[in-house]
Amino acid sequence: MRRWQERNLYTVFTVLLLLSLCGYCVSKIYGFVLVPDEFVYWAYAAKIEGYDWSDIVSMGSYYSYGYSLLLLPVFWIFKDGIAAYRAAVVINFILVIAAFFMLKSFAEKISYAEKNDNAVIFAAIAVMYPPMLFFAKMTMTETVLAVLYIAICKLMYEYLKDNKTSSLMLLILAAVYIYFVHMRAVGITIACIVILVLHLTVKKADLRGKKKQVLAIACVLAVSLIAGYLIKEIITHNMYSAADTEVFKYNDYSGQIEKLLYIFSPKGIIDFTVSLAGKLLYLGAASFGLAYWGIAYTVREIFKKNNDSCRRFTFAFVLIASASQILINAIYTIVPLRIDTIAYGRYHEFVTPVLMLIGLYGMWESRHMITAAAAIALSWLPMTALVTYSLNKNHPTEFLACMISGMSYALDWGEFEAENFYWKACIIGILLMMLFALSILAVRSKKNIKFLFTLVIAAEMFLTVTASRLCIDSSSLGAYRDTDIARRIQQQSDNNDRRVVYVDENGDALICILQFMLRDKDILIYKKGSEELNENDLVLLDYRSTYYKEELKNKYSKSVTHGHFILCYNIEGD
Amino acid sequence: MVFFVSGITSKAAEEITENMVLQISEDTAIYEKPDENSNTTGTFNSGTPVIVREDAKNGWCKVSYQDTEGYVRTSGLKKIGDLKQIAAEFDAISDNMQLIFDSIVLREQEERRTRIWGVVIVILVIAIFGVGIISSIKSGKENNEK
Repeated sequence: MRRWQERNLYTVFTVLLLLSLCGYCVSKIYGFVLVPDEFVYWAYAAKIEGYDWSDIVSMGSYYSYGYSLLLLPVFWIFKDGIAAYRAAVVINFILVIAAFFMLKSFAEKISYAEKNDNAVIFAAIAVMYPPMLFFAKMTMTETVLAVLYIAICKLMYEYLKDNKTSSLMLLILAAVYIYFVHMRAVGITIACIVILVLHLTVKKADLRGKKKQVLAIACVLAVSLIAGYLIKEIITHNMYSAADTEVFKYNDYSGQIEKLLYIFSPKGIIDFTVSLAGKLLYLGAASFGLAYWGIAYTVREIFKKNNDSCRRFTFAFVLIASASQILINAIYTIVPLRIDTIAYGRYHEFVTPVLMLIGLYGMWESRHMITAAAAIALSWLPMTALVTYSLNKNHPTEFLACMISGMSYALDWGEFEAENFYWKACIIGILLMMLFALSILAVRSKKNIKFLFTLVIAAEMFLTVTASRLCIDSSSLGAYRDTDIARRIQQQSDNNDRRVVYVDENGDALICILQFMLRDKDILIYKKGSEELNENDLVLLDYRSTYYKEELKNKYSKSVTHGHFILCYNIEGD
Repeated sequence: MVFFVSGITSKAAEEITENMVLQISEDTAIYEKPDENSNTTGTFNSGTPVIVREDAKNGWCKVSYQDTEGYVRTSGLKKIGDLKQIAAEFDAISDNMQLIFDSIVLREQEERRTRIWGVVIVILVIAIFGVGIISSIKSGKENNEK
């Protein structure tokens, strides 16, 4: 088979696989997986459409609004909640396909071969990074962050190569937008600015005639940041007016100052070291060790003698961006509140596909692959030991497996022990890395067996499906059952003015699930004890509540418990 | 034979047989065994309809309501007074069973759809793998001929 035919075949194969995975996932989706995050992104879009869900939004912390701009047209076109959600998931997978093509283009630029045979297959392996596909099934920001970051890397290279104003404008807008998609991506924005300033300083002579261009770009940067900040203030004022200040700033930067000061205390230094170790452990385990190869290759390329400045600065950007995101994550999750908080991969997953892509080239060119792989495997042992030390010291009990989906393959809910879980994840990570290294060795020695990489891609898809099954698929049944409650409410309140009231007993914002499905109904939120309930009302309680049995049984003759809610009401005419 | 509203007399208690449907007359403790010294596992509230699981003996009777089962004093039982309430209870149970049944049907449909997509994915992987093997064999033959 000719090379171009092989490249086209792998391109078509990857796109078809992603579309098939999209079809596989979409049919099982009935609503939110992670609340209230997903709801808030939709709520901002709903606000623009005229729906005021600020009562529910105010129950939680602040979330950024950048992703809501993408959800707005979906919300406008699809009036049914489930259809809108599924459409958004389809868009996520389309974005992943776009990311594949951008990674392929980036790979062709950074690789040494003129006709890059490996670009397609390496881009396919990187884009099939299991946590990336895992989060594409939800309306969380992870997919958009990953796609934006890949676009920024590509634009950075293009600008550094050609010094085109258009590339620079797009780069700056993307760097600002990624920050407003999620505040924790500030590391990317800062890395971008640092590299651009360094590049300007180094290339001062070449840019002498472009002072106006530089000034114009600086103005665009300033204006976009100010505009973004003003939009945030408008959102805070409109959506969080009833929010508790402490709850509000939990996600906001104003709530992180204490953590920054804590790092400089003796206990803080230990906690920070453990947190960093956990993040690095996750980075390696989830990427089959490729991210470490990526970091090593990046450092090598920055200092390699014959490299041009474009190449050096591009790799410097990747290194600074990745390092800053891991540091931000380590600081944000410095206090190990839950078992997953120590590793908490979700906050830096989006930099991993690019590191994996670079790591694949690093592995391909390495002359001491097995030795290096063994060294990496050994480095995981003290990191895992530090993580289990923290677990022994703090004894957290809560566990959200979807936050460390890239390490969750051996999860056993029946016999779960936190320390065993992390050791198993470490061993599985080492085994997968060794298998990966052996497959690269085999293909490198005999290039006409490149189809072996197909098995690698298939294995990544299998891991994605496994992680979904273990971490989130059970939520689809609960979400379906919630749609039943929504249907009953719709039946009982059609053509009348019956109020829908949620009695809030514990501050959980679960009611957002129903509000999203019943967008045209105003769900009133009452604190338990302060409510004035009428007999005509449709009253919702948390499914764990005993309030109906204790108090409301005499007022409402009918109650249905399904999914996350208890619905209490009187049949009209009773 | 006299039935008191608040309870059943000892004579009538002996006539309580398996599968009768009675009602709890006042809040009553549920015991593990027909013995007041045994552990209590909960309480049946007044008005709860219960199904008798064993014939009454020595003033005790084994009853159940939904998934709660245990021994209660026969003096805490009475004949069904409020059929409307019982009907409402069965309505609620029937409602919930319908919802659970619908969920099961839906899950089966989901499983079918995901199986189809799973087969598509497997076929794609096998196809590209097969094409790769054939291409590798062909290029091997061409190299040998050269």
